[in-house]
Amino acid sequence: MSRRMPRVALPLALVAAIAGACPASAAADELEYPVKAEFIERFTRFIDWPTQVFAGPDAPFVLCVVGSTPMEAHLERIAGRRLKERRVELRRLKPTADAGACHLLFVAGSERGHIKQIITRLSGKPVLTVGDSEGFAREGVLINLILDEDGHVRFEICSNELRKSGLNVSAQLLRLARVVTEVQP
Amino acid sequence: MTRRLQGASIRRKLIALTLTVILIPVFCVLAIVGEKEIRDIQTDMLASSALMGSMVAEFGAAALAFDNPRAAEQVLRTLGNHEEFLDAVLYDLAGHRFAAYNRVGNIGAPIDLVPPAPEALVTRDGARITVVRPVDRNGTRFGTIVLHTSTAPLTSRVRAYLWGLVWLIAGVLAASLMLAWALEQMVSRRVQKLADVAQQIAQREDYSVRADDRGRDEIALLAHGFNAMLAEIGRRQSEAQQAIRVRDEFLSVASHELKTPLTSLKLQVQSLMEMPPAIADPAEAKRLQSSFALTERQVRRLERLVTNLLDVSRIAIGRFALASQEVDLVVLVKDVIAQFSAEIQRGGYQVSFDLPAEAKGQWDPLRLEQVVVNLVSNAIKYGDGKPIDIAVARRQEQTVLRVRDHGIGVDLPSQERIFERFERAVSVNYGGLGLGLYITRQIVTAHGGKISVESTPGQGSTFVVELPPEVPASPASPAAPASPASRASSTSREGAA
Ligand SMILES: Nc1ncnc2c1ncn2[C@@H]1O[C@H](COP(=O)(O)OP(=O)(O)OP(=O)(O)O)[C@@H](O)[C@H]1O
Ligand SMILES: [Mg+2]
Repeated sequence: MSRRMPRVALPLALVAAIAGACPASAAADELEYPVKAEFIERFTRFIDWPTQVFAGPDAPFVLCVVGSTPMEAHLERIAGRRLKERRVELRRLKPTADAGACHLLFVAGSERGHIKQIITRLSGKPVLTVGDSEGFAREGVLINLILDEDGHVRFEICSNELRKSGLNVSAQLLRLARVVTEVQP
Repeated sequence: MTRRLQGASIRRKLIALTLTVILIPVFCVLAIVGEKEIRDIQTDMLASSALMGSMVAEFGAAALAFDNPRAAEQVLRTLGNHEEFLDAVLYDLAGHRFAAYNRVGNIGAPIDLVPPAPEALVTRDGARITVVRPVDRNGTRFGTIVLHTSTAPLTSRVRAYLWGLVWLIAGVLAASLMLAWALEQMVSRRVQKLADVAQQIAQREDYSVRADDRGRDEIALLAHGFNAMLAEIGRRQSEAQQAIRVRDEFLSVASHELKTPLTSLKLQVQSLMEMPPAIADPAEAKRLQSSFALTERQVRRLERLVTNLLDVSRIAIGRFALASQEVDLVVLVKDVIAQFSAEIQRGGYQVSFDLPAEAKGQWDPLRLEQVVVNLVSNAIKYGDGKPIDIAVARRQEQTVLRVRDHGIGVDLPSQERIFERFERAVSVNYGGLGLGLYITRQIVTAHGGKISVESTPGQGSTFVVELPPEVPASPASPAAPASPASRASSTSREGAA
C-alpha cells in the first residue's frame, strides 16, 4: 500500500504548483477529479463508522454514487482498493432510491434538485454524504469539496448534520475544513 | 588520619565524629537521589521531545493528507510555545519540504532532505535533540517530521537541581555544625573547664578552688572525684603546714633556750683555759690543758649547731636582718682558718691560699664569717684529708671567694638539693644537720650575691661565692624567705621527704 502512495502524493503536489501558477490551465482541470477522488479515499482514514453499520467482519464498504459526475471513473478506481480495510462495493443509485445501506454517498452536482430529499432521508444516519458542488454543505451534505482561490482542493463540513450522523470524525480533519451549518428552510 | 585525630582535642574529635556520622549518609543519599533525578530529567526531556514529534505527526497527518501546508504550518507554530523547541520541518513522502517553522531568534535553517525514518528516532548530539518521525494515519504514511529541540532548558533544570542540592548540603552542614557545637558545649567545654581548674591549681597552689560538679554524667563524676582529691590535698597541706609550724616553733624555743647556757659555758671554759696552771706537775698540767682545749672545741661545735638552728628558725619566721659595715674578706678568711687550725692539724690538711692584699666591701661581718666557716668546715668534714685551696679574687665589681677540696664530692643530682634546708648527700656517719649550706645561701643571696658548686664525686668540690661590693638597697627576694612561695616550696619538699 505504501509503495503506491508516492504516486498519489506527487500529483497532489503538482496540483498546488500548477494551480498556483495558472488556475485556468487544462492540466489543473484534468487533475481536479483524481485529486478529489483521492480526498474521498483519505476522508475514510479520518472518519470512523459505528461498528454496527457493517453486517460482519467480511461485509463490504458500500460506496454509492447518485447522479452523473466526471468523478465516476475515478471513484471506480478507488473502489478497486480497500476502504476501512474492507473490500469496496460501488453502487449507482437513483435519486429516489434509499441510500440508507450506503456507507459513503457521493452526490453529483446534477442532483441539486433532489438534494433536499436525499438529505432529509439520510439525516441522523451514519452515511457520509460527499459532494463537490457550490453550496451543498449548506444544504446538509456532510462534506463538500471545493476549490479555493488558488485552485487548491479544500472542503467544507456541515457541522450540525455531521453531529447528528453518529460518524466519528477526527479533530484533525475538522481543523482543515471550513465549517458550515445547514440552512433550515 | 586516625593518628592525627588521636592527638586532636576532644572538641575536634566530637566535631569530626558528628560531621562524619551526619554527612556521610547524607552525601550518599543525595548522590544516589541526585543521580537518579538527573537521569529522570534527561529521560523526561527526551520523552517530551518525542511527544512533540508525535503531536506534530498526529496533526500534520491530516494537513499532509489533504495537501494543506498552511494548516501544517499552524500546527508547527504551536510548538513555539515550548521553550525547548528550535525548528521543525514537515516533509511529504517525496522528501520535499511541505511546511517548516523556525522559532524566532533561532537561525540555522532546516534542510530540504529527509533521512528515511521507518520509525520514530530520538537522538541527542550535544546541546540539540533531533526527533525524526514518520507521519502516518491508520497505517498509511503521509510524510516525515524532523524537529530539533534544545537541551538548554534541560541543563538549566539540572543546574537548578544541583544548586538545590548544594543549598541542601550547606543546610545539613550548618545543622550538623550546630549539633557538633551543642555536643561540644555539653562535653568538651566542661572537660576544658575542669582542665582549667587543674591548671589554675598547679599555677597558684591554691587548693581551695573547686570544679563545677553539677550533673550526673561521667564528667560530673570526674569533677566530683577531682574535688574530693582537692579537699584531701588541702587537708593534708594544712596538716603539713601545721606540723612544720610546730617544728619551727620548737626549734626556735629550743635553740634560744640552748644558746644562753651555752654562751656562759663557753666563757667559763675560755676563762679556765686562761688561768695559770694550778698544778705543779708539768705533765699533769699539759694533760689538763689539752682536755680544756678539747672541751672548748666541743663547746664551739655545739655552739655552731645551736647557732645554725637559731638562724634557720629566724629565716623561717623572716627575722633575718643584715648589719653591714666595711669588711675585709681576706682578713676574715685568715681569722676563720685560725679558728679551725686545730681541726686542720688533726685532719692532716694542707691549706693553700691565693689571697690579694685586701678585698673590702660593705657586708655583715658576722654573717659573712658564718659563710666562710660553713664552707671551710664542710671542706674539712668532706675533704678526705686532701689539700684544700682557698682563693679570694676580684672579678669586675664582684668579690669572689673560692673554697676547693679534693674530697668525696657531690653527685650532680644532689648539687642543687644540698642548698636546701635539712638536705644532705652523705650517710649519717658524717655528723651534721644539713643546715650549713642552706644558711650560707640565705646569707649570700641576702647580700645580693650568688653561690654555686662544681663537683665530681670522688675528686672534690669547689664552692664559689660571688658578692657585690655592697648589700643592695632592697635585698633580692630569696633573702626574705618569709614569702609564702619559697616557704611553700621548701616545706612541701620536706613534707615529701
Ligand atoms: N665540700 C663538700 N664535699 C662534699 N660534699 C659536701 C661538701 N659540702 C657539703 N656537702 C654535702 O652537702 C650536704 C649539705 O651540707 P651542709 O653544710 O648544708 O650540711 P652538713 O654539713 O651535712 O651539716 P651541717 O648542718 O652541720 O653543716 C652535706 O651533707 C654533704 O653531703
Ligand atoms: Mg656543713
